[in-house]
Amino acid sequence: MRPGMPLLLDLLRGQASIHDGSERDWLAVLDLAEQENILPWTAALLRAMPDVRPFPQLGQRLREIHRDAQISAFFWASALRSILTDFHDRGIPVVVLKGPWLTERLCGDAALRPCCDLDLLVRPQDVIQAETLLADLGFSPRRLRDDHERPWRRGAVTVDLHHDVEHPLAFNFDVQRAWERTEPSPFHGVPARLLSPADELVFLCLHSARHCFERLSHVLDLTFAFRSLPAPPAGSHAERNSEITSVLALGEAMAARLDPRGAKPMSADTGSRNRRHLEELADQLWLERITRPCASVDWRAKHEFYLRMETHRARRFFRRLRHGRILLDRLIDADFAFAERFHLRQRWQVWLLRPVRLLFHVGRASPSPP
Amino acid sequence: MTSTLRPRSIPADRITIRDIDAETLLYDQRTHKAWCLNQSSACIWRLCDGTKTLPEIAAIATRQLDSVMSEDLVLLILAELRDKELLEEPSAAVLPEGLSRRQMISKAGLAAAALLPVIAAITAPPASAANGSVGTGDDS
Repeated sequence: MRPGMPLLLDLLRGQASIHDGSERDWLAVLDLAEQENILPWTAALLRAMPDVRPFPQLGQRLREIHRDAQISAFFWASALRSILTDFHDRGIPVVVLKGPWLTERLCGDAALRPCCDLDLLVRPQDVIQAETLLADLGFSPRRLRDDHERPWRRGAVTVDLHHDVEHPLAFNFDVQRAWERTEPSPFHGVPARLLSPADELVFLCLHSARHCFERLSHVLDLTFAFRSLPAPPAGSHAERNSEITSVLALGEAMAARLDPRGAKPMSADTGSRNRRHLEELADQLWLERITRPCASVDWRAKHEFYLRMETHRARRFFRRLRHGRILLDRLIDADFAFAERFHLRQRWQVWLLRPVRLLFHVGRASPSPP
Repeated sequence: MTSTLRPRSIPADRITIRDIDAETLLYDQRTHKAWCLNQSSACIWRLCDGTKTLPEIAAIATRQLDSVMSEDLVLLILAELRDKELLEEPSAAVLPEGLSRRQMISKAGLAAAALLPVIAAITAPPASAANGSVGTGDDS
């Protein structure tokens, strides 16, 4: 395991006492927790321990983390509230994904989970209006609209404006039906909407899968989610869609590896062979995560992970076809960066050069398209 | 001049406020900026209701903070609040020049240092720093 990981896992599972490690060990645990994006929660667990006094340096660090987390949570919650107010004033329905609101609902305190951007979901027919609003608020788009989102930035604040949660050819979340099931809910007094609890669980599992469970934060989110959110009901789209069911099953399997006590049997039937495959995949993933840091996940890595989730060769074949179909529709930063080498910036020129780039695999991501 | 000045903070409906321990966090919904104020800055900011003069603010702050708050120090704090656009016009525009931090410490000694204003901007780390992965659209 990675240094500090055994102690960190014991702490997360509620099986550690302060005397299980030296001050240096615990400081290393905090460093590891920061790498895994779970620092505030880890620090809160340590602060809750009966006696941290023998470790003054640790105590100081915990106070700093607590303060920083409260300041950060205030910043993001205030920014979110302000933006939701503007969306409400413009009459644009918006669903809040993840972020400080999710942490408040699942953990009781927005400061317990780091936030680095805001994710908002609008209906496809409202995208243009929402983008106009963001532009009026001083946000600038960071790149072209992607499979399902487009990041906008104003100073230190990034808003990922979603029209879907993943490309439908990759995973069909059926966002239209999900919108019908959304529920109105005020965020700090401002009207907004939330996914239904079952849809939110699907979304969180899909989100973690999109990130290949690269950090412990992606697993920790699911342990909270599976404790609090119900599985999709029988007969629902998620329950009938085998790919979504697999995502749920994998999410549950990963959550169970971090928190075996919180695991509950899935109501959806994924089939015994598929279930075995997903459990084996979860074992592999878990072993990978606790033994080495995850490499940065890009679009290719994400879709290769989706392939790993497929049990049957035929399904993997059809998924490859769908991935190719997705690629045909989109230009990405690497395409523009490659075309820029020849001082070409028109979309039709970038399209023409794309096969050349793909053929020679020379593309590299660039920060923003022209 | 300063005896008639009655500074006013920006309206409450424009600000989100939260107190954490000895600090006060402010989010300005008009400028979309967030600030972390130390105890003395927050105290002065809250006393700026458009009705109190500088001597009155200094006297009340002295009682609330249990430390001597001179008018010079209040002016210094008001200047910082003005620079961060946390004071309403026109009171912000007519603030006279006060002492600098260095002059304040020279005049009042190190005892004043603890009361010097600290109004730090709150920023957020870039999305990539916490997320790790580059997301979905940057490579294939």
